[in-house]
Amino acid sequence: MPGPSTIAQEFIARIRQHEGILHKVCAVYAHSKADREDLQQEIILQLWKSYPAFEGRSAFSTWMYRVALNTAITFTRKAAFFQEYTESLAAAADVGTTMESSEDLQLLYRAIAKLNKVERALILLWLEEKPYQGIADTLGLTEKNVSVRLVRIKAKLANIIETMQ
Amino acid sequence: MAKIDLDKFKTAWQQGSPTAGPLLTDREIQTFMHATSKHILVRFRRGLVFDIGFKAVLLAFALVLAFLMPCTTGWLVFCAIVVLLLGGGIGWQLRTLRQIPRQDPGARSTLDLLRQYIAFYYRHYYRAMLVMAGSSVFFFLTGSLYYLYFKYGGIPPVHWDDLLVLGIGLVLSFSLSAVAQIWQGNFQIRQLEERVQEIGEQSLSADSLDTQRSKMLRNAVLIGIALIAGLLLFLYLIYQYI
Repeated sequence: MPGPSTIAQEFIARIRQHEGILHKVCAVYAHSKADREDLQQEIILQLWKSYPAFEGRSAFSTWMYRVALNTAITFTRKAAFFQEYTESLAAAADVGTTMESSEDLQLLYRAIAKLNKVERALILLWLEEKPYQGIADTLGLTEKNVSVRLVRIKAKLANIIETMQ
Repeated sequence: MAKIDLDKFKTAWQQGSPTAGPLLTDREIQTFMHATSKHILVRFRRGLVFDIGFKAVLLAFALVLAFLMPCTTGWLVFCAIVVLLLGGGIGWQLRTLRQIPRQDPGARSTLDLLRQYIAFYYRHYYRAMLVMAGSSVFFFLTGSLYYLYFKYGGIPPVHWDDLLVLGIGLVLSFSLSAVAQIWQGNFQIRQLEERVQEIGEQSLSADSLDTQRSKMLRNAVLIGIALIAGLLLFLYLIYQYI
């Protein structure tokens, strides 16, 4: 049986291999640098705590998406005076500007930021070409519901992009 | 309908990376693996554990005070009530601690997790906040009694205006703490409810959330009435016997 340090090393190697998932989820759900760091930390912590229960029935990337999205969607902010104002300023300044990527991708992230949290999860999994059944299992929807909602969300996203262009 | 080719964006998504900064180092990942969670349930558990410790300290201070003050029947009855309330509070909080749902984001769907957290909030959170706010009352009370002990060596004869000041102090210490914590709780639960509504879940529709809210409000009113009645009884005991 592998020792705790071997398991930790194996976990770190797997996270590094799928680091893109972490960055994508954080970029979609957190718009300021501080929020992104908080969310990144929380997702890694939850992944590590859930890792012993990962039995390999699904691909590691699928499981990682599930944990990351569940953490991001159920991650709540603490109430604070002036928080919404400062956050919206930070979001406006930050989304898309820290990316070393194509204009299309920056535009896409800015458009996704205008969707609600659940719509973001649906579109993110669609962009990753996850099967509808997998998306339904992750979010707790039916496959039919996923299909119907994706049609609507794609139309909404296209409208947002058109307005932003 | 917009004439935008989303496939072009899909390709950009699959080829691009959202970050321009350096990737996480092994050391950073290792630090995050053992970091302190900011999840609502973990924050709640931390608050509860802190409050249990705080109540235990108050209980110890109350017991010491019980032996320091001149012994009268009224005083002993009063001390017994304080010890019972603090001990009962600790017992109830320990039970609540065991009922905090286990976080399992890898094995449950988003909707299941949201349902579980919201149900926990409505079943335990508000009551727990009121019990936690009770610690402020005992802190104020124990502090006042220690002040009287060190200044007068006991409790001097009290008049109605003294009781009024004490009563206002107790009500304020309770309500300020309770209002702050419930406001924070409401803010958090609203975010979870919004997520459920975004998923479009029928079984946790606005109607059922309204029912839960009114049930919670009714419980809060009942607890509030019980606390005020307890406070009046307590002031009567002080006035009558001490």
